[in-house]
Amino acid sequence: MATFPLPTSVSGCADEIAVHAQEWNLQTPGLHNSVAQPPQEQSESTAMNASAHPVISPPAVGWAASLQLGFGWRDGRTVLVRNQHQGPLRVQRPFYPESAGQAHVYILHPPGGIVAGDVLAIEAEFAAGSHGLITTPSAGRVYRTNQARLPQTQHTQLRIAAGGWGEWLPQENIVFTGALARNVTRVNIEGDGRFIGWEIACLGRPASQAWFEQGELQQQFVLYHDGKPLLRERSVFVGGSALLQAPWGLQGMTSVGTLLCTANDPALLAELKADCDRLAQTDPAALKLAATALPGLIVVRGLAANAAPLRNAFIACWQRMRLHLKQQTAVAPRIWFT
Amino acid sequence: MMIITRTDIRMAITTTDMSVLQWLQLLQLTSPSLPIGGFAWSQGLEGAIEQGWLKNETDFAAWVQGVMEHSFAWQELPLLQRLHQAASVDDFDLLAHWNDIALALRETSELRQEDLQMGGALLKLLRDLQVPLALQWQAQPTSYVTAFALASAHHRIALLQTCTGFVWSWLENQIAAALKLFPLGQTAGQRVFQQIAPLIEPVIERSLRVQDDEIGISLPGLVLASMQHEEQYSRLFRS
Repeated sequence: MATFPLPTSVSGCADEIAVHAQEWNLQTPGLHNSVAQPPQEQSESTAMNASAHPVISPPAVGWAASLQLGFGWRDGRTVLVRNQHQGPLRVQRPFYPESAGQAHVYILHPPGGIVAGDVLAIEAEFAAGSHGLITTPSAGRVYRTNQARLPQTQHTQLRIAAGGWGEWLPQENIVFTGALARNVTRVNIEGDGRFIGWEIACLGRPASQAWFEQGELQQQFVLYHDGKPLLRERSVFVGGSALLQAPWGLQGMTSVGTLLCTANDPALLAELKADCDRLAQTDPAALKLAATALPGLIVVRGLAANAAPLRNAFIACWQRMRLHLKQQTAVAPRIWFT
Repeated sequence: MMIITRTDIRMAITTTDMSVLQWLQLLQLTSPSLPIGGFAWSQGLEGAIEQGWLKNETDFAAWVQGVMEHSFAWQELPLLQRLHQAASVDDFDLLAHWNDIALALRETSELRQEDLQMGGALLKLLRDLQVPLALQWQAQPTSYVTAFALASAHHRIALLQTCTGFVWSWLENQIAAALKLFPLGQTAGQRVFQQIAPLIEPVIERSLRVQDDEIGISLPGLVLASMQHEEQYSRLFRS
């Protein structure tokens, strides 16, 4: 769930941060580069302008936001051929830290977290020849829901055309105790389209000893290949339930993640299995990691005591996938290290 | 494609009349001696024991209970109910739809292999026995849940008994596997059965209230055990 926290200071940060700080200033109209200004945007901007308070407080019934992206290949690099949004969810411009013209795109969610009733809808299409990477500038936050127990929802739908390459690498979602989070990521892959993506959830805030005692995260990570279901991973994590501690469940770990890569490649699987063993051996009590192969798909799963070791392990596996499949060292989005 | 509602499923489950012949056919379908190779698979149990997560009878009973109350309530039984209903009205499109979803829910190489091998073996057996539904079913590959539904629907075994037999067959198999993997006596195995058996009915009850889009439950620990089992040096079971 893409979010951007309230920035405390922008001085001395990377240029991306400065761009985002500007982006964050929602009171300034006309910053978004939508193809067409949706009517709903007007009313929300007006509502926010009416508030003299600098901190944005979303309406009690929740806030709908959507984003539609399209990646295409033009003049030797991947460009955003579509970038439309409604409500507080947007992308400014792609970054190009890599040599092969891959577009890195950061999804910004200026409210800084998902509250009761919020619905975020993200769609992205990756055309033939394009190679786009979508990430978020910081961890997502799903706060405790309200008395009406309205769910907090994010729906992501990706379509990767034959010959396209799409990566969905958002930072982890921190699900606060008492949240009612729904996170659905559905990926439709056509022909030889390539998908690499992960979902990482952190239940509660282990650093603050705030455990996931109430509430629920329902998460679906679903892949279709040419219209046929390839993988349907559906998780239900209920706060305080047996699943959080049991050996068949989370084993007392707070962070859980899945990394997927469409590939039919035993050599890559063997490399990833070795990576998983090596990474998990550094601290077996804090990180468990393993890999497997399904038809046309490599799956890496992990459990960790907090999100950082899991995220770092997935980054290492992602770099392995890129190196093996593209014979080029991947350059990670700079925002991951700021 | 015929739409089957939950009301249909709930009505079907209250129909419990069965002839003696149907009872016998269900017992045969769920028998450990049915030649589909069920004894070769442990569904992650061997991996979990190797990892040191399960050490005794208590740990094993808790594992079986947890897996049953999640996987069967939210995944296997809701799938079986839909497949059984589809087979009962010869709706092969709907059968193929849920068969695809059943296979997409297998999260590791070994769990998928187990489902396909047992499903393929049962399907072959049914075809050898000239079961018309199995002869008409063209789709490959076939989940074990689908093949079980074809057999049960062929004998017109009611849904409640179909579900009961399906869970029992799995529980029996898990206990048999545990007896080979643990220093666990025959009586201990029966004690686990005694403890788990009363929990089956509530699991079936829960499974009836699962909506289509709620089907599926990932158990991260079981998935890790199954993935690590792929690399296990010495092993008795194929999953």
